[in-house]
This record gives sequence, structure tokens and C-alpha cells, in this order.
Amino acid sequence: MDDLGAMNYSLTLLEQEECESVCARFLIDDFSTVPAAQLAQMRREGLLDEENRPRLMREKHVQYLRKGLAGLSGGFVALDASRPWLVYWIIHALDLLEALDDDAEIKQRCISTLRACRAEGAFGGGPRQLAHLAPTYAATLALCCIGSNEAFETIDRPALYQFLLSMKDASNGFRMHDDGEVDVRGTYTAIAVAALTNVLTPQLVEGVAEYAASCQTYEGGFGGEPGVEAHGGYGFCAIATLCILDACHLVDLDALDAWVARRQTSIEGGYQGRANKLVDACYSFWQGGTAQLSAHARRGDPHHIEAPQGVRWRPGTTSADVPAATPIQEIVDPIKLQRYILLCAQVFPDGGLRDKPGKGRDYYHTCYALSGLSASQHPDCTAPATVSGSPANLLPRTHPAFNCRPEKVSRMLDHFSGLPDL
Amino acid sequence: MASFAAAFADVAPIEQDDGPAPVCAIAYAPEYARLMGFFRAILESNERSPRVLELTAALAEHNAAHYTVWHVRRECLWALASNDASILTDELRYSAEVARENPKNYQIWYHRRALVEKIGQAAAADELALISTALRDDAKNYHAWSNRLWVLKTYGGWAGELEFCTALLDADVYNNSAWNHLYQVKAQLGCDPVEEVRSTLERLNHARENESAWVYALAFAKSDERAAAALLAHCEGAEGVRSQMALVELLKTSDPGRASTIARRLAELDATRARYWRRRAEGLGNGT
Repeated sequence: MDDLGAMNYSLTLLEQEECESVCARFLIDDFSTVPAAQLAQMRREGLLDEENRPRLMREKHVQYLRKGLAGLSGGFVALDASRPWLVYWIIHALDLLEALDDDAEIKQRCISTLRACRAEGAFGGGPRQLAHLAPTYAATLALCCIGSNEAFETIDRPALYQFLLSMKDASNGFRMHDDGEVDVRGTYTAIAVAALTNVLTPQLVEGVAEYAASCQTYEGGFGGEPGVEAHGGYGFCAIATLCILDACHLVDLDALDAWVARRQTSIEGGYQGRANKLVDACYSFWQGGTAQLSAHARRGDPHHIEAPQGVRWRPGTTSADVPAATPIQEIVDPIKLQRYILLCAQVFPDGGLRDKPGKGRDYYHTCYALSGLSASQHPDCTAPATVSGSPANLLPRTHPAFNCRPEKVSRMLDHFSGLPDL
Repeated sequence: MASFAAAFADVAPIEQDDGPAPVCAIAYAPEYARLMGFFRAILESNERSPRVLELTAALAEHNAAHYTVWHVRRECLWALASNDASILTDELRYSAEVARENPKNYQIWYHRRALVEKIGQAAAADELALISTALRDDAKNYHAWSNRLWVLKTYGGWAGELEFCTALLDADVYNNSAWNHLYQVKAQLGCDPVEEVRSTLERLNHARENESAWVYALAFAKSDERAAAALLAHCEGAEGVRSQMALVELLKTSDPGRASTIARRLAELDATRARYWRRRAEGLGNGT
């Protein structure tokens, strides 16, 4: 950006320039130019492999994630109404790092903690808290990651359905909780939970896709409510809802693609959440997932009976056959994004991932940076994976609409589609 | 804290039950744990009283994202306000303070919305003023902008918004939130699309690659032929990458061949989006 030369003061430009120059210091092209002692440390701590290729510091991330399960300091009180979120962020990240399935004890303890958060057939942010759609979504996804019958049986399906219905607003949006805000997060969390538990009834979904579609703005992305600025997090919620409900024809996918492609930053390589905002690793998934969902919709996947292998949108679709479809045409640069995640978002040498250099690690960013890494490695289940840096960085796939591993999503859909209609 | 112990001496606190061997257990500060013990008891008794109001304020100070605490606080407010309406005006003052301290918190902004809704039109002007203050600290605060749009849609007051947007864009012409708001205001008040393109191009003079301004201008060009012609005239021969991107949009129907050629060139100029531009070029035909 050369606009600063005009001497027009702009906080946006100043912050952007600063961010670009900081990130550029981390985005090293040729590690052989790094001083030997520093290089040795990078290899010793696992940031580089033996060929000096950027490496996902798996061991360090797993260690950090397990520490969170073991217990959190008093400073986490601000997340005391987000306990199911903490569980989901951590165990989904562990699942992507292939460090969850063999840990029967942790899975058991997660079920028990989530059970303690149950409220009104749904889940609250902690024990004895009001039922709320966001922790309900997080708890459902966490149970999906665990994937056992015992986990699924934690859900009281008829009561959950009544809760979801009771959150539906006259606008056809969903309220986050009784006496809570209505926005497209409410829509997505309610519809994703309903899809996974097989309660997507006509009554529940009537008018819902239209509400989500009404959040698309002149920019091409979606805001949290009609007319509000296009934003990556809300945009994901809108397009994922529309994919699950098979209603992408209601929106302008060309405009959405143009918007999401513009969200990848040129120097840093990661995504920003909104136009003229700074890069943030969490959007690796929110924007990357949006691009992927849009590509599926364009290819017609949600409109076909067969979703691509392993990617199922909702009960009743089968994953037996991969339709002879054209490969997904990517619109973003997966290598640039992966380099941002590996070199700017990984916290060296301690592990965990962060928003951007200068910020601290946290479980939210660790979850969504890894989810975004997985999504960008697997743009399409029919094409070979794209992996930047060490080949050992390859993660298993994550479902673009639910953000759990697709085989886990299938297992949950199979369980609940085997139950009688309500 | 001692005062809470005394005030709730008649209440048996309920401890938190996380179940056996919980994960992600938080090592609560003793004071928060004690206050939560009373709060859980109140959730059982449904007491709605001034002391519960104070308890919720104390808990929100520890954790402003505790939506159950805010819910109980509102229940108290509505119950107590039926005898004393000044409770709600006090609450406007108190919650404004909390919003200043927690500008990115969902719960406090929803609390403001619920409060304004309860009071009605009389609170609308104050709410716009509070939002203006929040936007002075962070001109892109998403909650503040969302609430602003809600106030305007619910209670009116659009007339002053043009000046508000202009001031914010003068301060930072790259503020996309302000551009979005301007678009909503123009849609509400009505405008001449040609004039919108003209004034946007003026702003682009000193910010040639400003995506926010280009996307705004293109939105008017999309719906109005004269606006499209005005923007096209500017783009022909203009420097910079964004003008080329705009040309792809402006020419895609009238001259797809040329639009395709430009898209193909953009695959090199805007290399991060090379895949996107190649797809656009293909979609528009072969070009020249």
C-alpha cells in the first residue's frame, strides 16, 4: 500500500503497515540465511524439520491443549460461561492432531463435565447456567468429537428440540437464550445442532434460510444481522446454515466468492475478518471454511442426494458414492495461508496458536487455526492434499459445515437418524 | 465482600457441581466462588430484590460475559421498576460505564438494547450518544455499529447520520464499518447513485487502493446504468489494481472478452488471488 504518501492520516493504514512489517519478519523464505544458533534452536524445538522446512509443532500443541483440560487458572473466569466451548476447542484440536481417540479417560471426563452443563434439554455455559445456543452447539460438537454412544446419549433429543423451537424468533432468526440477542450465530448454532441430532423439522426450518440470506450485504459477505457490516465469523454462520438447509440459491455466491477472496491478506497470507481490518488466524477457518462451502454449493453438492465422500450435510444423505464432479476450484492461496499459520500463528517455542505475532496463545485460536490449516490442506476430498512445509504437517480433514472430522459427523448422523422422528 | 456475606446471611449458598474429575475446571478467586454460591441459591429461589441487583453487578465485574447473571439482573430491574421508574435511568448510567470497560462484550450490548427497548423512544438519543462515544475509542466496534443500526431502524433519527459518517470517513477513509453504515443510511434516505459514485471517487483521490470505497461505488454502479457509466469513465486509463478489478465488474456483461483479458492480467498483479482471477477469466470466456 503506497497511499500513505498522500499524507492523509489513517489509523487503518498505520496499523496495517505495522502488522505487515512484523509478520514479514516471521515469514522467512530461506531458513539457511538464519544464524546457525537460532536455526539449531528452531530445529530442536520442532519449528523446522531436518530439511529446514516449517513444521507443525504437534507435541507442543498437544501438551498445551492437555494442560487446559487438566485445569485453568483464575484468569479464565471470563470464560466461566463458556465451559463447553473450552472443551470443544481443546478436544477438536486434539482430534485434528490425532491425540484424542486413544484417550478413553479424557473422553469420559469430557462427557461428565458436559453432562454437568446440561440445562432445559440443551446446555448452558457451566453448571446451573441458563440454556444457551452457543454452548449447546459447542457441547454437541464436543460430543461429536468423542463419538461414542454414551456421548450421544448425553443428549435428551426431544427436550433439545423443544428448546431449539422455543428460541425461534418472529423474524425467523434464533435467540441465543431466553431474553437474549438474535443474530445469525443463533441461526447457525441452532441449525447445526438440529442437523446433527436429526430434528430439522419443517416447523423449525421454516423461513430460516431466508433470514440467513437477508444478512448478505452489498459487499458480498454477510453481517450478523441484516444491514450490518460483512464479517467472517457471521458469514461462515450464514453460508453453513444455507448449505445445511440446501438453500444457497437464495444468495449471490459470485459476490460472496469475490468478498472472501479479498479477505486473504497479500503480505501476511492469513485472512482478515472484515475489509480493512488486520489479519487474524481464527479466520483461517471462518473464511477458509466459507470459501470451501461456497465451492461445494457451486458444484451443486448440497443439491445432490450424494454429498462427497465423508462430507455429509444432514441425515438422509448418503456418502456411498463420490459424484463424478469437477474438482473444486479454489479461489484462495492455500500455501500462503498455511505459511501464515505455521510461521506467524504458532507460538515458538511454547506451542499453542495465536491471532497474530505479538498476541498470546489461547484455546480458541489454537482450535480455529488448526481447523483452518486442515481445511486449506484439503480443499476437496477428491483431490490430493496441499501441504506447505514439512509433509508431516498433514492433518486429517475437518467437515466444512460442522468443523468436526467427517467420519465423526457421519457417526453422529447415523446414530440420530436411527432414532424415530419426533 | 463482607457486606455481601452479611446481606445474604439468610441464604444457604449452593456450591458448583462440575461432576466427577471435571475437565477445564477454573481455579476461581475465592470471592467469585463465594458470590456464585449466593447466585446459584438465588437461581433456585427466584428472588428479585435490590440485594440481588447488587450481587449481579459484583459478579459482572468478575465476569462480564456471564449471561445468566445479566438475565437475572434484567428480571430484577423489570420487577423493581414497576414501583420506581428511576431504577431504569440509573441502569442506563451504570450499564454505560460497563460498556465503556467491556466494549467487545456481547452481553452488555444486548443489555443496553433490552434496556432501551424497555424505556422506549426517550432512550434512543442517549443510546446514539453512547454509541458515538464507543466509536470514538474504536471506530470499528462491531457491537456498537450493530446497535446503532438497530436504534435507527427502531426509533428513527437517520437525518443526523450523514454528518456522522462523513466525520468518521474524514478521520479514517479506510474505515469499512463507516462505509457500510453510510450505505445503509443512503438506502434509507434515498440518494442519486451518480452523485454517490462522484463523491466516492473524490475520496479515492487520496486513497487509490481503498477497497471499502471501491466496493461502495460498485454497489451503486450495479444498480444504476448512469452510475456505472460514470465509474467506467473514471476507470478507463486510471492507475492502480483496484480500478482494474472494478473494470472486470463493469465490463463483464457489455464486453466479456475484455473483462476476461483484464481478469487474466489481475492473476499476475494480484497474485494472492491468482486462482480467483483465473476462474473469473475462464468464466468470462477466452478474452483476447
